[in-house]
Amino acid sequence: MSERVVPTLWAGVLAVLMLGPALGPGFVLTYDMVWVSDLALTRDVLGLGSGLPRAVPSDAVVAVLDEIVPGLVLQKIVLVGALVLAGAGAAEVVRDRSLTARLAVVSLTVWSPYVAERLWMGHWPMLLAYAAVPWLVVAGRRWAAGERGPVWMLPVLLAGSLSASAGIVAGAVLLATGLRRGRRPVLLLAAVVAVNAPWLVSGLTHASEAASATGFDVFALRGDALPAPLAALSLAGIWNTSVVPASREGWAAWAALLLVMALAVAGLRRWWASDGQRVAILALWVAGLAVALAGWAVPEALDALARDVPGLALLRDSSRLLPLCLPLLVVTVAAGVDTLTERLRTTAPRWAAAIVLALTPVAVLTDAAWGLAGGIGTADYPPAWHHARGALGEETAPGDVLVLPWSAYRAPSWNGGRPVLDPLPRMLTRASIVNGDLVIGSTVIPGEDLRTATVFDELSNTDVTGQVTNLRQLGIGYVITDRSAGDAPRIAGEIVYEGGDLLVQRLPERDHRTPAAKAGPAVIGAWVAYGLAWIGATTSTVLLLISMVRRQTAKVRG
Amino acid sequence: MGNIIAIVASILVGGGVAAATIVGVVTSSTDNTVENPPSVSESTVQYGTND
Repeated sequence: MSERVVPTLWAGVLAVLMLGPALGPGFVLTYDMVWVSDLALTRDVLGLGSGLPRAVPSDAVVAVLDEIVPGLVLQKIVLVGALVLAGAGAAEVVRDRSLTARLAVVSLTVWSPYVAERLWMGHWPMLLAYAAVPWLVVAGRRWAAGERGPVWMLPVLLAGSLSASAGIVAGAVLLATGLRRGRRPVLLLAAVVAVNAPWLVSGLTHASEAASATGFDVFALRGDALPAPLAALSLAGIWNTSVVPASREGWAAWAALLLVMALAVAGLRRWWASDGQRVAILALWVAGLAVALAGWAVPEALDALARDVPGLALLRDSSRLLPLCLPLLVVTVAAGVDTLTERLRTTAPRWAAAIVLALTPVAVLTDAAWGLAGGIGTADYPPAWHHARGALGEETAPGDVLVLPWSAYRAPSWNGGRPVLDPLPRMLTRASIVNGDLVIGSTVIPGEDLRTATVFDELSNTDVTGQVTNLRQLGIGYVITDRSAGDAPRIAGEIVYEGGDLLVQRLPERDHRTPAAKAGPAVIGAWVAYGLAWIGATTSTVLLLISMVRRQTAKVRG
Repeated sequence: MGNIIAIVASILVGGGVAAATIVGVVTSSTDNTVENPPSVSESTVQYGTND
């Protein structure tokens, strides 16, 4: 227990240093990261809306948990928890190594370009998956050895599988390291399928929309100062250059790569001789790198293939699966550190090596510190947003909410002008319809929701009465317009709320049609399986806490 | 003699990296170079850039 304390504390220090002002009062709203104080459990959140279920099951989990813990606090717990767990997990994977080696891998894992870039991009489920990876390696190792799975295995698997890509990463790591004949493989497979069931089934019900997903070239792995394949070796290379720390564009990126590669090569032989999971860990690294490089090398071929293989679109943001490469980096670098430090015979050089190895990942990526050097921060929603939510919550007429202006992303002044996915849909208590088109440079990646295309046509309808009738027939009952976010078409509706920059309107009730929810026995079955997994995880967590308390009590009693 | 050289070298290297890290972190945190969109009311905010 005590040998975990120092690496965990170091991971905590790094987490606080990286997040900095993001831990202050207010929500962190950056690109895809949108949190509100109380997310409603709407049709969209459950993946039953007309759009692709991109935030399934993460939004549903948040919608339930924020009934217990306020969304603001929950977000801080998730962000700090992901970074601390990632570091502590890396140290746990190499528990037999020296303290210097464990501190080095904590720094390498927490202070990584992947963490910085995905944090800035707002991909918090991927951060949780990244944090889960080392723990799942440990769990898989024990499972494959025929031991009983650790009580924390299911909670970690659940936390690491809150989106499709995250679920692929977490599931692949656990199955690769733990799946062995005669070692209860069905139980392990069942756990992985259950925690991924909501997005799997929901995705299948949207298979036709998913087949229209394109843009492999736009979302492909990108090089920074390093060519793309070398950037991937450093767990860098996100497609969005706006979220790449400036230091990744200079010599520091080369220094980071050289250090990691030198240590990994130095430790390769030692690790290979000592790890029973070596084939699985190597296979995960190859898979992660292959997916990342495929999007970079043959994006057009993948674009074409995705039309026939809907699930392939999940790999569009190809560097997202790079956490699969993390276990190999951790085990080889730790072995390399021990190989190096064992040659140092006196205390002073060993201390110097420990300081250098623990600090170099920070020194070569200093602008990941303190909220990514201002890249992320906190913000409070204007009072008008809460009032609009309240006003809409009191409405009884049927219909979804149309969100205007007709664009997906905002850069509100109250958020410091930082780009963020429009938070309004998550703020509301009803299902909403938004433009899903993504504007990246001069390219527009069309959204996949077929209903939005019809709504877009209707927004340019000059016949005001006909427009309202047609919107009603599309299942839209209300319109909310954020006047601070640009030009929006005027819709003829009765004002429900007007304040700040927001306008909420009710459309006249005529010929309203409610779109059929894509629920069926399969979707219900998926959520039941997921619910059972949560019950199992909650029970495990309670048992874990009880055993920890008992152990501490026994220690005190002597 | 060898020990003294090792100690001096260790202090220089370890201290140098530690100092460089602290200076780098403080400089990055105080010199905020992040550029947000020039106009918060532009109707189409980009999801990202990859130029």
